[in-house]
Amino acid sequence: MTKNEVIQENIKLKDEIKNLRLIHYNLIQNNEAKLVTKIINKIFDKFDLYQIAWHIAKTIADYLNTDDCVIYEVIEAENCLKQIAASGHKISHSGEIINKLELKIGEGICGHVAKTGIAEIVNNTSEDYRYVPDINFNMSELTVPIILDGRIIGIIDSEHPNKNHFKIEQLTIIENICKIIALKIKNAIDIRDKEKFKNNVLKSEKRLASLIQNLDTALLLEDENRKIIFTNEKFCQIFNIPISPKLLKGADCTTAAETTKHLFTNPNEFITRIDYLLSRKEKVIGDELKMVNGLVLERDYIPIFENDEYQGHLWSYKDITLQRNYNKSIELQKNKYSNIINNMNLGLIEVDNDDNILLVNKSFLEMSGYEEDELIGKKASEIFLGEIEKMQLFTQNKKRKEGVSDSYELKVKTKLGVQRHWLISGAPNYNLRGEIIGSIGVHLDISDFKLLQSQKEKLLIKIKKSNEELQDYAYAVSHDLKSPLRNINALLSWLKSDNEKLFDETSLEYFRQLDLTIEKMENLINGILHHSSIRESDSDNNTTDIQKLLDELIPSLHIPSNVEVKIIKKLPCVKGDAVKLEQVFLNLINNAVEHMDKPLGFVKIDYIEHPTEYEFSISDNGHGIEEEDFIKIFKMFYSHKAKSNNCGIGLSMVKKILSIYDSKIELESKLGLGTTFYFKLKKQSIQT
Amino acid sequence: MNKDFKIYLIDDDPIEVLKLERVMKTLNFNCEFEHFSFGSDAITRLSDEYKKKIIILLDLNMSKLSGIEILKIIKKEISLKKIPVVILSTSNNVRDISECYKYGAAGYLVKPLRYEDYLSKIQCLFHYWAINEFA
Repeated sequence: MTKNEVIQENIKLKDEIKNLRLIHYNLIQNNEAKLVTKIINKIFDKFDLYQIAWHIAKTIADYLNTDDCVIYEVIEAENCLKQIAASGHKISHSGEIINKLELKIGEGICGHVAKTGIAEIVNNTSEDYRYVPDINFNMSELTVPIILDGRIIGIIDSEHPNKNHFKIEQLTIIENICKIIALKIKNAIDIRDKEKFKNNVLKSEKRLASLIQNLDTALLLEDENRKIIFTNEKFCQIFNIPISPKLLKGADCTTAAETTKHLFTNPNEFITRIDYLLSRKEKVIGDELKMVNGLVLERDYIPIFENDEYQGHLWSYKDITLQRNYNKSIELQKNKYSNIINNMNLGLIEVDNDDNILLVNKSFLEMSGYEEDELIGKKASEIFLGEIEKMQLFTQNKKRKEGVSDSYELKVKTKLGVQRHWLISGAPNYNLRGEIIGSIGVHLDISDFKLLQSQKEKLLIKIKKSNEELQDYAYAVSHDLKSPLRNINALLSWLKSDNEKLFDETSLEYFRQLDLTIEKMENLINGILHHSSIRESDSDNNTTDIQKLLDELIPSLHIPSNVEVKIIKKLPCVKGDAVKLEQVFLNLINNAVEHMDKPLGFVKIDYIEHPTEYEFSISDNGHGIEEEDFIKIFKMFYSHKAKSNNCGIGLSMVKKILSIYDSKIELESKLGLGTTFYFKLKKQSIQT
Repeated sequence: MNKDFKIYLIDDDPIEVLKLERVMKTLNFNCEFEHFSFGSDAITRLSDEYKKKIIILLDLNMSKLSGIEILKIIKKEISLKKIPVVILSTSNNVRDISECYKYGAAGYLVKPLRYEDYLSKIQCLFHYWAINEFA
């Protein structure tokens, strides 16, 4: 080929390329024109942002041969992108966007484009770290910013499941479309924002209005001609206006004060003060007004100026009756308590956290012997306490700082150097923030009481000791008496047996009488011994089964055949020592049997139940007791029958044992008919 | 009957001595018999003849050393410990009785009121010890 031929060929090729480009350009132009026309047709008569965006998304998705096109609004103030429209399966049946994604600027491919403002095609998302999948994972993505006046206002984002789906020319076309629709979208955004703002203002106005209507403060806003602009429920309530506050709008207030002044305790002052305030036109807060019905009001007057021009004024009335009464009652209470504190018989002292005295009352000064100025500001422990007591107080103060209140005894020295015992109740003192700022102590001088107490204790020990001595004495004496009695008996017996044949019948009778007397003496001594051996013991708290006790006791008694001892019903368990209780029943049964004078005698043992005790009864049909003897029979050594072998100590012992169990014995008796003894015993002790 | 033992009576009441002597005479029970008014004398004497077979009859209620104290001393002393001590007392108080057995008494007789009863009790006592072995 010649050089010319080559040149010719090149020119040809260039022309061909030029033609091809032209065709291609036309083709693109054509496609773009078609798409633009389509979009413009759809959105030119729409103003709602969401509708517009929705149409754009749908059309672009069709054009790009994909199901997935989303439009984001870029909100700079919130540094984020919000989906405002979508196509295909991102739309639910009800037309809502599914999984309405919100991205930060810079996040994902969309966020990245929103930051750079440069359109992008990603041919393989799996190799792009920025990719954030929406509801599906797609392989290619096309992202174009919508830019107006250099600000990115939105993003068009389309995705496709296949790799390498999007072409450069498509990107170019969409970029151009974005330029065309940017203004429309911006307008739509502005319209939406304006609507939103208007709605918000309306809402807050409504809220404010209802707030004012229901405010606990009465409000009255008047214009410069004293016509009502608005007022509220509370105002109508306070001033006894029987109509709705809304109907008062526009009413003239110039004569209102005159008609309502009778509501106030000082009507003339009410009028003059209003006139004064209106003429001055200066803000006045906290006027106090007393009403005839007892209410106390606080009134504020606030003039309203706009550009230094008087526009009207606001009256507000607050009901402060409760608060006023509350303050008054607090004042009264305070006076009452400080009176009590000053005059009470207990010493009161308040100290701070370092034990410095802040306050003392009159009684404390009397107790301690100091004057007030000798104490205030000084350390209490230094003035009153010795070293040991200081340690004691130290532990107490520690407790106080932990917030514990309690009572303790302390030895203190008064001003005169006299040692006294004080009982102190200490409690921590708090400030309004709940912090401990010291403690308050209430003091009672218990020195005299202490002395009495120790005297009482000593006396008790002494009584106990002398009681024991008395019992030991009775015991020892009885024993000392027993030996000589035995000796007399032995000597008599020898005298008799050694001289048996020398005594006549009379003398022998004397011997028999001597024997009987000695025997009686022995019985008396045994009685004293027995009686003195009854003492309180630990076993008094035992539980004793009376039925079992009597089942064993009765067969061992010498009961004559003409007397029957009957237990009416099964007897219960009681609290008490078995040996002592046996003595009670033994003596009462023996007593009944001994005084039986009927050929068919009975002794009945029964009981009735009370809430905490059982009342036993032992009745017989024997000789009976005369009423004048009711008390005597319980005395020691009283025996009804002069010749009886009975030492007369049985009933006295019964009485003594029952007294140990805080019980009494009582009786009913009719001479010739019989006697019933009653006594109560506590139910069995609860086992712990 | 084995009458090969000696009876010590520790009692400060002379009539008690008469009573025991009379019982022995009545019963024809002629074994060795010695009487002490003071416990201390008895203890000194015992120390001399601890090789003999002895029964001590001890009264509780005595003016100087009480019976229970004498019992304690005897039962503490290793050489005297083995000697049976039988208490003779007017007291039938449970506390006294249990106290005596606690400190090692071999028996406890309550002195009866009637001399006849006393006689029969002592008779039983002698018979009992007569059939016992001594170490």
